[in-house]
This record gives sequence, structure tokens and C-alpha cells, in this order.
Amino acid sequence: MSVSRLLLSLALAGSVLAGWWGLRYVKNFRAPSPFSQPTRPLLPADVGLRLSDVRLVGRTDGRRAWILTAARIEGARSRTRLTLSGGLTATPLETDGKTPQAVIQAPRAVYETQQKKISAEGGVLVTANEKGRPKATVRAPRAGYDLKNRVLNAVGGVSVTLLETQKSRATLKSQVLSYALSARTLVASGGFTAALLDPKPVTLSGPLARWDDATQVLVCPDGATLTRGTLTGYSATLKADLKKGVYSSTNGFGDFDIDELKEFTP
Amino acid sequence: MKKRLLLCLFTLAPLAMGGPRPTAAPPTVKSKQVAPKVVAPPKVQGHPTGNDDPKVYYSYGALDYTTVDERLLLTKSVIFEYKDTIFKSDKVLYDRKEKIASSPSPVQLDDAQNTITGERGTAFYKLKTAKIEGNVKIIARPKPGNPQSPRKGLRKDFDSPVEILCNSVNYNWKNKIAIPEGNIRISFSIKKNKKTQKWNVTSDTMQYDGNTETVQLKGNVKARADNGDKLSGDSGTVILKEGIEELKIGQASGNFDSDQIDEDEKPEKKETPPPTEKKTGGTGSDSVE
Repeated sequence: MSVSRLLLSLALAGSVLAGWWGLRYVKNFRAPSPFSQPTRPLLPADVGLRLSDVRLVGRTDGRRAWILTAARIEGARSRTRLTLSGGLTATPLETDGKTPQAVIQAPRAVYETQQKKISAEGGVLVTANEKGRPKATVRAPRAGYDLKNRVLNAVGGVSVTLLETQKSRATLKSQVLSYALSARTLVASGGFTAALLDPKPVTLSGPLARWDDATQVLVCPDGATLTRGTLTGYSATLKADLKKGVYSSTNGFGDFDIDELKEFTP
Repeated sequence: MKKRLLLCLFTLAPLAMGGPRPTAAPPTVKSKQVAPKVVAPPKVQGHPTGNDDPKVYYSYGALDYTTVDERLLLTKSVIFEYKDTIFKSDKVLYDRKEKIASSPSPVQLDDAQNTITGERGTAFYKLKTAKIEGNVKIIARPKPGNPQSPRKGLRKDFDSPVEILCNSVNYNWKNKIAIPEGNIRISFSIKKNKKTQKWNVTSDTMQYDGNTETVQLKGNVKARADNGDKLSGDSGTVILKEGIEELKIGQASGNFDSDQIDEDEKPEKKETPPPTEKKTGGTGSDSVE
């Protein structure tokens, strides 16, 4: 055997080995092995990471900032997206690192890492707390949260229930809802209906409403219908100050029952 | 040559096994566009459905509704409409518990027959009365004409509706009774023989009944026409009902310009007992039909 033949044989053998090694990267390729190995589920092409039964704890400045649990988390190879599914629960925490600020539940959600936006769908339930106690719930078919601007958006038959507080209890239904956590302002658009207790039952409806959580003032700049007891009114603009119990409106009309004795009889 | 072949094999083999993997386009969560829901204003503005309608219909330019004490402060062209009564002002404070609408600014109260204006006023919806004060003017319009009127009466010849001036008035819009107070004067015009005669009647007290369309005058009744005719007495009645219009002054004395009164309308001079109001002159009662 000449040296050249030996070299050629070695080259061929090396080529075969290199090919075998390269085949490991081919989709659905299973390396032939004389040994039986446990089969592992393969990741889809665009999935670079898959975690099951996950509990993540996020930290800010060393303290716990949020807790995330999900049955499955998949990360895109591009690292721009995380897909959470199988029962997602996100719990932002107060600055003490213990008290839940809110609890967000959804069947599935997508987190855009660059835009820092979460989009959840399939029936979203958000429970907002105040000092650790539930203050309001938001139900929506779809909802999104902008982490940069701290704005919660919900669309498609949104229902907000303000649980009983010191003075009032309220429910709000609208087509589109946007709540800015920093400013504590809520905008309900596309037609809204609000039911309040002030402490008498009050119903408000209109095309657009802006709610300031700090001042407890609801403004309807594009007209509103108010019903309180037998009193019904429609006005071009309406401002409801629930702290003071004053409804101010302009250019309106309405009616009330003059014999509304029952309404004011304890 | 063989070296080159080996080099090519080593270089191309990995490429032949698989190239760069295609990445799937990331799924996007589409936010469904929701058509804005147009909320049409309710049909609450309008008119009472009749006297059985227990509702007050209101309109305003600005409203502050304070729920603590159940008060509505309405400003700018305020209208309260209850049954056939319309209360208008530029500022109205309504107490829902007491059912009282009070206005410190000029008011106007209208019903089917009367218009009452004044500098301020209060409507008591429990009692269905209103008190209007300050330069009060009551304009009493006749009820719709009766086509079967027995005869052509003076009312048809009234140049303008009857006008009552006073300092204040209590008006019950249910039984249509108005009781004016202070500086009472009732004035009306009569057109006879193409001439208009304007009458002014004053008295200490007066009661206007819109149902019977009569005005009862008591105490120091004085009637004066612009042509100089005069009548005076202790009491009087003005009947405004179409067809049977009449001005009667009890225990009257006065003088008339006979040219201004038709022969059949001249006051008859009969000796009659003083308390009764009849078509008498001199010391009895005088009347003008």
C-alpha cells in the first residue's frame, strides 16, 4: 500500500465522519447509534428554547419584582419573542417584593422582548390589588401590556369591575380600554356603559369615558346618558366627581318622576 | 491534484449536509379593529304624554347635580315641563326631596291659558303651586273659542289677552287659581265699533280662576277706561269666558261716555240691593258687557 492510497483512505474516512457529524443538524435526523438513548422531543424550527412548568422570578435592584408561572415557555431563536402557554399567571410585586400588585391570568401570551410588550389572548383576567387586596378586575378576550409605558390595553368586550371601596362600587364595560398605571387614568372607548353605586345605583353610558383613579373623576367629553333613580338625562358633556358626589353636565335634557318618594324613603 | 480534491471534499461536505436554517416568521397577535359604537341620545326630551304623566321634563345649558342633598342646579335657558306647565328661567335650583324648584332670576311660568312672569319665583311640585315675585305680570289667554257661543261677546273683541300686574302671585296650576298680591291691576282692551277701549281695574285683593275664567275683585275696586269712563265699588267680578264676558262692580258708582258704549251695553240703572252684583248703576252695581 502506497502512502498516497493511505492518505486517500484517511481522507475518505474523515469525509464520512464529517458528514455523519453534520447530519445531526438536519431536521428530524436521528443519529444511528448502537446504544438505545431516551428520545427527546425536538424543537420546532423557530424555537430556540423550551421550558416546561416554569416559575420565573424577576428582580429589579436585587429585590423581587415579579413572578411568572406558565406550563410552557418557548423562546424564539431570534430571541425577540417569548411565547407563554398552558395557563399563564404573572404577578407583579410591590416594592416590598412580597405583596402582589396585580395578578394576570391568560391561557397564552406573547412577550416581545425588544418592544417590551405582552399580548395575551384567549380570555384574559387581570386582578389589580391595592395594598395586597383585590381592588379591580379586568376581563377581556384580548389584552396587552406595554412594560415601557406601563399601559394596559384591552379590546373586544372589556369588562372592568371596581370592587367595593369606601364610597363606590362600579362596573365598566367597553369595546376598547386603556389603563395607564403610572398616571392611574383609564380611557374607555368604542361605546361604554358604567354602573356605579354612589351609594344609589347610577348608570352612565356614552361613546367615550376618561376615568382618573386618583381624583375619582369620570369625564365623558362626547356626550353621556345618566340614569339615577327615576332621573334620566342626556348631555353633550358630563363630568362625574364621585368623591364629591357631583355630576356636572352641559347642554342636556332629561326627565324624572315627580313622585319618586320610594327612592328617597329609607 | 489529490490534495486539492481532499480540500474540496472537506470544504464542501459540511455545506452539503445542511445550509443555514430558515427561520419562520414570528406569529403576530393581530388586534381586531373594533367599530366604534355610536351611542344615540335617548328620546327623553319631549313633551309630557298627558296629565297622567308623572314626569318632569327638563333641559338646560349647564347642570350641577349634587347627590348628597339631591339638588340640581340648572343654569342657562332652563326649562322644567310638568304636565301642561312650563317653568322657564336662567337659573333654577331643584330639590328632589322637597320637589321645589326655586329661581332667583327672572322666571316665566306657562300653562295652556296663562303666562306668568316675574323677577324670581318658586315652584312647589308637591302642592302644584308656584309663587312668583317682583313685577309680576299674568297674561291670561282665553280658552279656545267656543263655536257654539250663544252670542258674539266682547271677549272676541279683546284686542289682547287679559293682563294682571301685581307684586307677587300664588298660582295653583292644578286648579288654575291665581291669587295676586300688592299693587294689583288688571287691564284689558275691548274693541267696539272699530274703537279700542282699554280698561284698567285695581283692587285690594284679587283671585283669578282660570277654570271658570273669572276674576274676583275685593276691596276698593276701581275701574277706569282710557276714554275716561270710571267705575268703583267694594267688589267686582270680571268674567272672561267667551260669549258671556262681563265686568261687574258691586256697590259701584261711576260715569260713562255714552258714545263709547252701545245702547244695549249701557248700564241699566235699577234700584237693587247693594250686596248683589247686577247690571245696575248709581249706588248699586255697574257692569259692562
